[in-house]
Amino acid sequence: MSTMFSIENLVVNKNRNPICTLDSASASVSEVIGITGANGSGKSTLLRVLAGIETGFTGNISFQQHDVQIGYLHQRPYLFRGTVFANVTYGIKDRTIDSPEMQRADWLMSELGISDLRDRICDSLSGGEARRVALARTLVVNPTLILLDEPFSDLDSVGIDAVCKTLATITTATIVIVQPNSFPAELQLDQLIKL
Amino acid sequence: MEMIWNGMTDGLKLLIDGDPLVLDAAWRSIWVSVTAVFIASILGISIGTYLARHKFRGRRAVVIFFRGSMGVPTVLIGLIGYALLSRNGMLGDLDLLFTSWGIVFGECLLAIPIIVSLTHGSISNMDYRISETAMLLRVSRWHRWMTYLNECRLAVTLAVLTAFARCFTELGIAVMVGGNLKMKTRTLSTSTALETAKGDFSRAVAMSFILLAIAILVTIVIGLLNREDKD
Repeated sequence: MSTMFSIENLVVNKNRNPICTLDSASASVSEVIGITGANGSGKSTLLRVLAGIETGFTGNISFQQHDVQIGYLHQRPYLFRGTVFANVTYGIKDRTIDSPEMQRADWLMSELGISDLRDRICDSLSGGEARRVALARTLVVNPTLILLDEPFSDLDSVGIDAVCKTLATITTATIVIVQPNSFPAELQLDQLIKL
Repeated sequence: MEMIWNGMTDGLKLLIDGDPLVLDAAWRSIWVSVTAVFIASILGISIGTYLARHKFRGRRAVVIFFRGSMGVPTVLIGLIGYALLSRNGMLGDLDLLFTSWGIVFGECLLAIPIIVSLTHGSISNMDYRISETAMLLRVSRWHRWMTYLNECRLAVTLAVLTAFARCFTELGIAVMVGGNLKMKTRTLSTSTALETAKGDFSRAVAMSFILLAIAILVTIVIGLLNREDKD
């Protein structure tokens, strides 16, 4: 199995204080990696470094593939003004109705149980619904590296089940999931990194 | 007191009768300000968004320049406009001095720094997750900009309305660049000043009524938008 990324001697500093350290880690394509640790241990920071939005670090991170499409779910996702459908299809380039991307959007909404929210304005969504909408928006562009920061927060058991089943169908991407506590039993982890 | 009361009643009568001088000045004030703010919005929103989202050497100086320009007196802007548009000025060939388009040009100089600074402020302070989400989903630069403006639309609308309120009520630019020519470049503010100086208090009051009404309308819209933003 080919390697997606490898990390060596990573230290992320903020105001000259290390907020995340990791000696080494690597992930292969189609692996599901869990990251756990105490509050403030740098779990979210590690995801942000992998996403390329946190740049103040020392050490080495290398990606084996040249063009990695990253899908990143924030710890508290932001939904744009507008409807659920507009948010889910935000990153889609080919917006014709029967394009593969639009069909993927419909499929993801159905899998995540948000099809009936399609025309709802995002302001009126509950926390769990908003998270599932944001997850669909993240996955719709078919990312090869999926970084999910606490994707199960605010979700009820049905929501957790839907997310786990959806993630299980993705076999061509590396999935990195941050959780502060335990991971759902339905989720099959290939690796667990403790920070 | 009697003078003010008489001015108000006569002014109302002039408005009801549709006094051509009052209506001409009112119409010119509206179209000049709307045109100037429209042009300034296209430039100002683009510059403000660019300054907020792109890092380059000297960006801070440019931002400070625009912020500082917000407080420049309109008489000074009028003087700059006059110098640029006069026959020997850089833009003298355009022959805009003492025309309504000259006032539009001057008011653009007034409005652009306001729109740039307020747009820059709102987009710089928007939620960091907006830009991160848009960037990671790899949408085009145009799509990203439209997203930022859509997310900050109330603040940007307020910036445009604030610029309109400044342009609509300003005097210095209209006098210096427009020349206050009867039925050609006379606006509500220049007419009000002139009629008061001439002692025609009723006409000055009639024009002030229109100025006040539009200024109050803009203030109400700004207030409503502010409330919507907080809700």
